[in-house]
Amino acid sequence: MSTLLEHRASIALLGAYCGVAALVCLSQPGSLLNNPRSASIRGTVRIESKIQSKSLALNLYLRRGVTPNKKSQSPPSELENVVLYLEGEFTSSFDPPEKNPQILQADETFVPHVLPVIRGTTVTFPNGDPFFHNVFSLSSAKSFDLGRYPKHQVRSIRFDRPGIVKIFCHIHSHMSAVVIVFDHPYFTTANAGGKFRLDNIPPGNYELVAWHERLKPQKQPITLRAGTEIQVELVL
Amino acid sequence: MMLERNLRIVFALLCLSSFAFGEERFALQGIADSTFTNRNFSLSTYEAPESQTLWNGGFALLGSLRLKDNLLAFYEGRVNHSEGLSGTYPRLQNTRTDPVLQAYLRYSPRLAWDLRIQVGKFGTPFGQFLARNYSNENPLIGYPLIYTHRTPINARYVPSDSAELLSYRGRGQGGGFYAYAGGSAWLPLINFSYPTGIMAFGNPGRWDYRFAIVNSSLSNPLNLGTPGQRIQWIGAGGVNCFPRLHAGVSFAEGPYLDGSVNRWLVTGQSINDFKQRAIGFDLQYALHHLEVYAELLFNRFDVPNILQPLGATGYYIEVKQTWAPRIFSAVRWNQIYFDRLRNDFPPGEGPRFDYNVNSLEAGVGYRLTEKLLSKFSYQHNRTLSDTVPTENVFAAQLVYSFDVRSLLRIR
Repeated sequence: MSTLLEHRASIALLGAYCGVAALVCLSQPGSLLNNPRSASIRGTVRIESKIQSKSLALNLYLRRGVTPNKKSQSPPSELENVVLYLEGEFTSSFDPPEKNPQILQADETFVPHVLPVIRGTTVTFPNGDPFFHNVFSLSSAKSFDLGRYPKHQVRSIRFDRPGIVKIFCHIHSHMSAVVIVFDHPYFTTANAGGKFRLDNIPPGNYELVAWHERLKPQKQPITLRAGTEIQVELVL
Repeated sequence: MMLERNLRIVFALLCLSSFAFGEERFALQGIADSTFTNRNFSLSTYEAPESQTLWNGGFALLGSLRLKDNLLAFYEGRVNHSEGLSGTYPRLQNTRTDPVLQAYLRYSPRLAWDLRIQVGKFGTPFGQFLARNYSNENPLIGYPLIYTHRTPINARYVPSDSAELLSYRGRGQGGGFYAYAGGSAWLPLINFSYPTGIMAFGNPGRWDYRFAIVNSSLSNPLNLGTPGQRIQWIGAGGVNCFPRLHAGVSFAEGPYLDGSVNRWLVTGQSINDFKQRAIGFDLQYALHHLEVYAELLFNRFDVPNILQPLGATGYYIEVKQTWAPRIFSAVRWNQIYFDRLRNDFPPGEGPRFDYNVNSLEAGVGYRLTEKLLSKFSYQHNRTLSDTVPTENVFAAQLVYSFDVRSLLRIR
């Protein structure tokens, strides 16, 4: 009897889990079930060109009061810094996300190094290091200076114009990040293995662009039909 | 010279090996600046003011190479050229090359507490300004007075008595130039000194400490490696009192006179008997777009044939405000007070061994790009004497800092 009850309970639990999973799946922008009139792109990006290496920390002087305790860390894959986005005609207007994305300052590094956002997004810059940081940009798409601030403090800035915003720290010249501001939500970044996915795209003709800050962008024309998912492979 | 040549060879080999391995271990940064300076001064209140225009071009090359996770090599070389463009003095032509200003190894033993050891030729770890003396980090064009004002104490000559010392008042700075510290034997209180030695340092929690044993004094880098000279030692500590404020203290002690002075000393004395002792306090504070830096220095020289130690107290306070991403302004106020001579004079009435000096520098900076910075400043220096009264300096500077590998397309 107890075995039967346990069995039924397990089935109920499994059903509930499936229900929740289905709801989560339906609520995801990537779900085809969510919008059968939209299309998806799934793909892989590879980097075959030689990338110019990034600036390393020089740290000729160990500064008092702003001294880092450097931790050894493995550098992130350059594939994670590749942004995939669509170029084409988009008629709708799009709202920024409710939750603000962040670029953390940790171990004298901006994390993530590349952040694509939609126009109107506010990005927060928490300082996770036990010393002062500064965040500034002189890019035409957004020029700002958040001043110097210590650990645990957070400053934020809203990005209102599409374009590439290069971000630096006055105190640590080797620190840099890039915020790419789009006027549509059809962008993503690749994962460490180079895989990416774009969902809920209205059918149409587009160019899929793979962008890396130190490489020439690659473009690939694509045609998307409603309810389909295409697979692409891009090489930088 | 042998040491410098060997260091250069070692560093070249390290660089080549880094390229050969093709790993991201090597950082190379360049800082180039071009400065036009117009200096108006009068040698006395009774003479017509002089005017001099000067161009100064500087280039600093800084490199670091990660040999292992816990072993790094650092390098800095500099070239500086000054040229007189107009003025009543003979046209100045001066090139100073420091192919190895700094070259050292930094080792981090894997201990439970923070300790790093640095061996080689490195900047004196006293105070806070040496790390900020680069033109892309200094918000003004000139330097703090305690680093540039030349006192009447000479590293290569000793006065025979107090009267002779007094005759040198104002002479150290008289032929000098506040905008740049040169290689003169008239000593400032602190110099931009890069001796050879060993340093232990670390940053445990909110504290930091440094302890170094080196072969050159705080004020006189010219006595580097003088035969028979005792070593110098420098200690420093600091604490982040609260997140926005760092307070530090530094101490240095050691002989400062050049070895050539030995011939003027009485039998039984050596240059090691005459020391410079300095204790300094420094503060750094930042609030939003406001930055404040300050240093207070108590310095004392033992001078041959002068019975009392010659003390001087100097300080500066520097405030920088960033108004917009591209625009900032800064102001620095400096003062130095020199001790009165006590012997042969009634108490409190002895003359000061050098004239007290004040200096105010104010300037603005405009960032043309992330790498290109322009600065404009006005500096007023006032010596509290009739013989060397004032100096006014207008200066404009363009600074370009860059990643050398990016510029040369090194991959």
